[in-house]
Amino acid sequence: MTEAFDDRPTRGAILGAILATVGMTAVLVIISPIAAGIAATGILFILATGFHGSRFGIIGLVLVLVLSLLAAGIAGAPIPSLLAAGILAVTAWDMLEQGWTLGVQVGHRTPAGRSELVHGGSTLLVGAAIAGVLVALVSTIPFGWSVIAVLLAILAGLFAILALDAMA
Amino acid sequence: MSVQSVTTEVPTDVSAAADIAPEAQLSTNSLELVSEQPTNRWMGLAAVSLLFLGAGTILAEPSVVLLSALGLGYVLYDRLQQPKPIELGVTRTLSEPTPDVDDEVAITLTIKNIGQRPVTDLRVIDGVPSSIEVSEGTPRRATALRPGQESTFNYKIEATRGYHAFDPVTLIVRDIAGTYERVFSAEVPSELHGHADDDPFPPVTLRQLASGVVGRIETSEGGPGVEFHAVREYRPGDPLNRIDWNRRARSGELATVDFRREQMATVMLVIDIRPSAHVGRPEDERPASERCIEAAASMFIGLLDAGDRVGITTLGTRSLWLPPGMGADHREHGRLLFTRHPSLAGRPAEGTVSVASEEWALDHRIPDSTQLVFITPLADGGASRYATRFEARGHPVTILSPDPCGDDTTGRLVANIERQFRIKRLRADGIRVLDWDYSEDSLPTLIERFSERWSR
Repeated sequence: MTEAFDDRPTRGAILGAILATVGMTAVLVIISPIAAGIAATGILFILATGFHGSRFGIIGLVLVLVLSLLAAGIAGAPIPSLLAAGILAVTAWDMLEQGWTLGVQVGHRTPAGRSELVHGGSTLLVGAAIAGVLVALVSTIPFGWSVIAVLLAILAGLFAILALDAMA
Repeated sequence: MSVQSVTTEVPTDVSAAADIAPEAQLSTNSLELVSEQPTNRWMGLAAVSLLFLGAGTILAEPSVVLLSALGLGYVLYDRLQQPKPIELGVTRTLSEPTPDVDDEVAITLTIKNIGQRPVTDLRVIDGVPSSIEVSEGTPRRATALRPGQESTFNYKIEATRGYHAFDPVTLIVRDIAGTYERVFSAEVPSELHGHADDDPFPPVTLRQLASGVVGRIETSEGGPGVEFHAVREYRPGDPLNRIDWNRRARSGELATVDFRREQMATVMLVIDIRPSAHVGRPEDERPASERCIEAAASMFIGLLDAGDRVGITTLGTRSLWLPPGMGADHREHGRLLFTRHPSLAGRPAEGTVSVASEEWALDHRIPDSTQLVFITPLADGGASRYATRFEARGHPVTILSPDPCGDDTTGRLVANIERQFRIKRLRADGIRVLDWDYSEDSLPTLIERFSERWSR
């Protein structure tokens, strides 16, 4: 038998997640070496998930990427760079999590490159579209940041309700 | 709930399928939806976004607040996903549907998106029968398919004896964001018939219970035959070639020579296929129950060739029953059973098996003067009780027992000792037991050795 079923993600997913994390580190390294350093530790979590197969590795990755983005934001990173780092962070998590489910369902050695490419690519594209809208909003709305913050707060509340609804 | 459909191609016999026009090979069945559930995988991102919003507001960092907008955008993307109808065509082909045992069979599975929408995350798990091992490749694949596109993958299995039906193909479909996961089951009927050349063994020496019909079992009764039995007083009608002419010349008396009467045996082969017989040594590729089936197949031919009436049944399921018989038709019937009957495909019988109820059922079906050849690894006390009770009811029992125990671990050593005790008790009860260590002896060698011992 050449099948292998455990909690390990597929190889393509690990590679994709590492590339996204490396990309995020590269984006942040000039702005905030501390944030970049934190992001780089995400690679360790990805590798740990790849070798040992545990969902805790994915949670660890999310924690360090969130910390890294917060650090970069506090360090005053420019909006385009921060958004790019955010998109890459989401992509890294998304690919690793999807690869993990692939590993559980079809085995981590099963060829799944096409599915991984489509999934990772769509996450990047969607992120780019959202970032484009946000940059456009920031550069065109004349009322300043406070208005955006209020709008976001309303949106957040809306999604919180939707999330609770979905979990019920 | 969306409507899905699947097209399944049904080439159970490759050669037969080749004679059919390609379009005629397709038959549309509904794709059975097994489950549909949201994955909630983006919910964590909603929480992180709220964290960024709070942190950005407290720290008065607009860029952090903007990060929460990015996260919420992704959550919105997730919320916009809905399960959409899909249409898939699934085809399975076998390089050889009737291979010889141990031959490799290449399986080709093709999935085609025959719908109008792309399938962005498709996970395919082929329904390989549980009794068959994949020898090369994997029966699983993940892919994405544009409308009209197809994906083909191959793997190889090692054929085992008997009939094996493939299970339905499982298709797991996720949307592009992974928001919903739907599991479908697609029936793609395929069958594999593992064919074994069951060389007949020298027939096992049977017990002294005969059917009354002329055959190979030497009885204690006098009559026509080969081996001298006794000389008795002449009775009118005795054949001339059995009159003791020497005595007639010496004393003038007429006497008749009796030989041991040779009669045909009626034998029921009982194969133990209960879950408890599905055991084997760690180094074994095949469980003991599979060796039991192989041995039974060869013994069936061997006993028929020796002129006995032979039937087949199993301990574990009542669905297999071939009453004792002989002749070319009976031989072919038995051969087909060994090749095609699901109970003889090397899988353990499903569910719990009541040995007492199986015993009752067989006792009411077998004719009187039938002896049993019970093929079992004797892995539990149920098998030995079964044999003892039939022996007590006047059906002589001969046991052929492949030894599934090793002595590499303490547990195996204990199991081995228990089994040896069972064999000892059975022999003490007058039951013949051929204890077969298949790592050392071939079955024909074992049978010849025991036959010599029993004929002394």
